[in-house]
Amino acid sequence: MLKITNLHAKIGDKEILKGINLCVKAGEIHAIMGPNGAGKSTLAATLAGRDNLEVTSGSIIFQGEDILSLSPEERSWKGIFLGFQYPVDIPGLSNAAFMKAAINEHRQQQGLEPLSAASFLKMVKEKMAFVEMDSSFSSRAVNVGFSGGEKKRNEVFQMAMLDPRLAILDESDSGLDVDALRIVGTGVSKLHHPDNAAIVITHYQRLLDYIVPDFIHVLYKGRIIKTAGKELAMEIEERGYDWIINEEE
Amino acid sequence: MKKNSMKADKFCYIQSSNESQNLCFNLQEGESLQLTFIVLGDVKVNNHIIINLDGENAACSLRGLWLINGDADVNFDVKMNHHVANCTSDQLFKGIANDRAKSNFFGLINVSTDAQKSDARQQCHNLLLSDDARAYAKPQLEIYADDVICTHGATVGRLNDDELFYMRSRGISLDEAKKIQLKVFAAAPLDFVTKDTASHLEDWINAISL
Repeated sequence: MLKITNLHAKIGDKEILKGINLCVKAGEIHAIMGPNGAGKSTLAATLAGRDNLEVTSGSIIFQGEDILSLSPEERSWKGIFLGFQYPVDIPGLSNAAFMKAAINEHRQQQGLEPLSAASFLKMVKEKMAFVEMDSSFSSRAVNVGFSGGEKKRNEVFQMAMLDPRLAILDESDSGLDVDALRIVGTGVSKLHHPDNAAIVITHYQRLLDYIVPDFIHVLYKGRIIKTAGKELAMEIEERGYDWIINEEE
Repeated sequence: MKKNSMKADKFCYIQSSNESQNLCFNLQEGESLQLTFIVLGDVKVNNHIIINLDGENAACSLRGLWLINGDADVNFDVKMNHHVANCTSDQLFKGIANDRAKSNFFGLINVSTDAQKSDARQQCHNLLLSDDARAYAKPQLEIYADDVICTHGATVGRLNDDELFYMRSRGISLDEAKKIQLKVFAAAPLDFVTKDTASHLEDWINAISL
C-alpha cells in the first residue's frame, strides 16, 4: 500500500529525514517510536503533504502512485489521513460544518452526490458515539475549548467519518488521561480492518496495548535504525533508546 | 437591570459605491441603537459616525464589515461618547482587503467624568489577502471616570496556514478552505442584519477574493 524509499526532507536548511525506507502493506499496523527530535512528526507531515517542508530526494509510492507532487487534499481523497499531534482550533467553524465540507468534497471526487442532511447527521451521531463524544460537540467550533483528550477523540471521530485507507496517527496518546487513552486506542483499533493500514507514532508502550502493531520501527536522527515485532515496545519502555542507539553506532 | 421599554432602532447601511455616511445619533435614557455598515468592492468611502450616549441606560452596538479590493480606500472615523452613567457600547469591525485596497479605522471612546459604570468595548480585526493591501487600526480611549469597563483590541493578520493545512488534510480543497476561513472571519459583524442580507456573505467574499 505504501512504499517509502530513501526519503530525505528538510525544513528550512535543516535536513530532518535522512533516508527513510518503509513498506506498509494492507492490514498492517506499524508503530514508529524514537526520542524527541528524531523526525517522527516530520515524517507524518511529509506523508500528508505539508508544504513548509521540502523533500529533497526519495519517493513515496501510495497504492502504486508517487504522491510527492500531490496536494494535501488530493492525498486525503486518495485515502491518507493524518491524526494531528496538535489538532488545530478553528473558531467560528462548527465541527459538523467542517466534516460536511470534507465528506462532500470526498464524495464529489468519487462522483457522488452530496450527502443528504439526514444521512449526514445520522453518520455524525454514530461516529461520535463511537468515540464516546457527546453529540453537542458537533455544533461546537472545531477544537475550540476542547481538552487535550477531547481534541484527540475528535481526531479519531474525523478518522471514523473519512474511513481512510492509511491512517497516520501522530502521538495520538500525548496529553491523554487513562480513559481518553482507552477510547482513542480502542477507537483506532476498531477502525482497523484487512483493507486499511495504520502508522502509529508514539513515545510510549501504553497506546500499543490497545493498538497492537505488527512492526515497531525506531526512528533516530532521521533514519530508521531498528525494526522489530511488538515486543520491542516493552523493551524500550524498560531500557529506553540508548542501547538501540549504541548498537547502531 | 432596568427594563428597556424605550425606542430601539436598527439600521443597516450597505455601501457599494463611493457614497459616504456622516451620521450623528443622540441616545436618550433607555434607548438602544444597532448600526451595521457593510462596505463592498472597489470603493472610496469616508464614514464619520458620532454617537452621544446622553441618557442613562442607553445602549449602542456598532458593526462594520468591509470586503474590499482593487484600489478601495475605506475610512471609518467613530466617536463613541459616554456622557452619562450606566450606558453600554460595543463595537465590532472586521475587514478583508485584497489587491491594493486599504482601510483606516479610527475609533475614539470618550468616557466623561460623570459616566460611571460605563461599559465600552471596541474590536477591529483585519485580514489581508495580498502583499499590497493595507489596514490601519487606531483605537483610542479617553477615560475620565474611574468605575468603568473599557476594552479594545485591534489586529491585522493573514490567512492562517495551520488552519488551511488542517482543513486540506481532511480533503477540503485549498480554495474552499480559504473561503471557509474568510466566511468564518467575516460572519461575526453580521449578527444584527437580516438572514437575507447575511446570506449574501459568500457572494461578497467571492467577489473580492477570486
